[in-house]
Amino acid sequence: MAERISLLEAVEKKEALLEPGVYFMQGNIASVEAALIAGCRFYAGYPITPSNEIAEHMSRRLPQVGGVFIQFEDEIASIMALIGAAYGGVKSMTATSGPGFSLMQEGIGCAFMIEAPIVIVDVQRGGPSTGLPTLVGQGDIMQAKWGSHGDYEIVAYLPSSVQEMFDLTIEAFNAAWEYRVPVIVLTDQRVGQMIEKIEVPPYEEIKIVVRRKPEVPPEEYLPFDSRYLVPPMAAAGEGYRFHVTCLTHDDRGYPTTSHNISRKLVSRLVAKIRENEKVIGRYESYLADDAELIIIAYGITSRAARRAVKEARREGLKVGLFRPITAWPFPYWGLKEHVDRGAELLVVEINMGQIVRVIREYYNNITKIHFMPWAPGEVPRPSDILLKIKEVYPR
Amino acid sequence: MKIPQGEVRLRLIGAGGHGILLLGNIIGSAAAQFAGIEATMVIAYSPAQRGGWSRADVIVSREPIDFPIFDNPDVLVATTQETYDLEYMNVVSGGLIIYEKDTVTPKPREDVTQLGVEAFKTAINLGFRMSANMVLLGFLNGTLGLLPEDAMMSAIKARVKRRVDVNLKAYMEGVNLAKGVKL
Repeated sequence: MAERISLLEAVEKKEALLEPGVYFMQGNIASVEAALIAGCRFYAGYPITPSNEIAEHMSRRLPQVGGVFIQFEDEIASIMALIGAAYGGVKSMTATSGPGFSLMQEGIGCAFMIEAPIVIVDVQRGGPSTGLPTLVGQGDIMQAKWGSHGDYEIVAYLPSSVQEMFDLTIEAFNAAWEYRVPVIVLTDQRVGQMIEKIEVPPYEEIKIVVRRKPEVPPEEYLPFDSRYLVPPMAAAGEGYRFHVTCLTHDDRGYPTTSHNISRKLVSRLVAKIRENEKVIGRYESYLADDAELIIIAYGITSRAARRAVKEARREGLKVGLFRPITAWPFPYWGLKEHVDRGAELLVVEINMGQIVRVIREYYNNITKIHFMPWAPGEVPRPSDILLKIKEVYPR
Repeated sequence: MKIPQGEVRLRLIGAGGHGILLLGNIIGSAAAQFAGIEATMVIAYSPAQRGGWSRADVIVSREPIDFPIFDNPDVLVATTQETYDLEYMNVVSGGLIIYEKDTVTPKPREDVTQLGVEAFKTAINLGFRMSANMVLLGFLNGTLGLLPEDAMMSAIKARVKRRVDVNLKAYMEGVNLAKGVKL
């Protein structure tokens, strides 16, 4: 496990970070300020609505804290630059939306393969394709998990408030550098662009994960040392010379076609996340303990669902809410006790069926799984969800 | 109008350049940063980037706010005829409409209170037309008693970048115009 130190130790005093306190702030801006506090000092990106406030604010703020901002020619170059920065030992981030996220997929696979810690904020808009640039969607959930080729695991957070845009961006950096993986903040247009109350806690309460450096001399260093689950990471310029490739590679970083090495490498890479799924995976339950019907919703949709749950309760219906805070790893275990006592499930999401597939994977034939698909462009109103609750409520 | 207990939903709408978003940001800041209660804001624009309207939907609440989006506001503030026409039927029954008196001719709605205020004229008399939104803010808060005066003043000081003194004066003018208004 990487060493954890407090922010005060991690940053120099001259750096201008957002001070602890209460603010009325946009989600996208909160994500930027959180990234800077987490230690992000490099941003590479290409503009796309509705993520632009992140790039705009970063371009202003990064130079103030001694960082570098580059607008690249496209998203492919941007994500590769992030990987380069990570290998330079610098915390790096980009932001995009659906079409740009598609372009980044190959680079995400590369980052996973060479264990480059990077953070991508995907402010989801309506799709498919160019879709609805200014309007909400939640259609990138499966893409975040399966968008690149080959076997890999990803960490993706689902903020539902401006506060979580802040908190989960910091967590994203921590997970990226703890496990040396690409991490996605999978937000949506509504959460990213809404303005809300946010509290920045005292710096000493914010835990920041830093790079775990090699303790051996350069001649003994193995950049992909399979004796570790997460090998220590040397940065460029520290005297450790080694080879990096997105080809299947041995502990030294050189390409190989050995099946034995392929097995060891891929098993270890996925094990980093799979063995820690319950450490990384998070959820929140609301009025779920006695619920006969549990709504599963995330991002902005979870907030409409929360209101719908309250209204259903007022009408005497035992309804609860399960809100995954991580899409990947999906916190399936949090539903088990409710399903075991007979609760039925209703998935509400702004897509034609994504997280509902995960729910079916774990709970099909164990309980009834209802689904309310919602086309991109608008958030279902609490009244829409309440209608669905009444339609499927178990009698 | 009956001031709603708990959650108040305000829709602020006007032409681009009327300072609608600043108005929303000041109300939100006053609530969240200076009055210690909850606030959310979602913004929307008409498709035309110039000459179109801009809208801020603000919720101020003593409880955590579940859902920041709403269709029917308790309070509407409109600065142009176009935006008034677009929204006046959406206000909840028993709600309040505040409109700019010189630019808007109100339409009949028996079940809501409608108050006109000469925000532009007041601001021009102060020598700074751009402070019309602060006149509206003062009138709104003077009428509704939404948030403490000092919270509003602190938010204006925190959010307004130019000519803070005139903006504060404009705010107080708005408060004065609201004196004697009965809901």
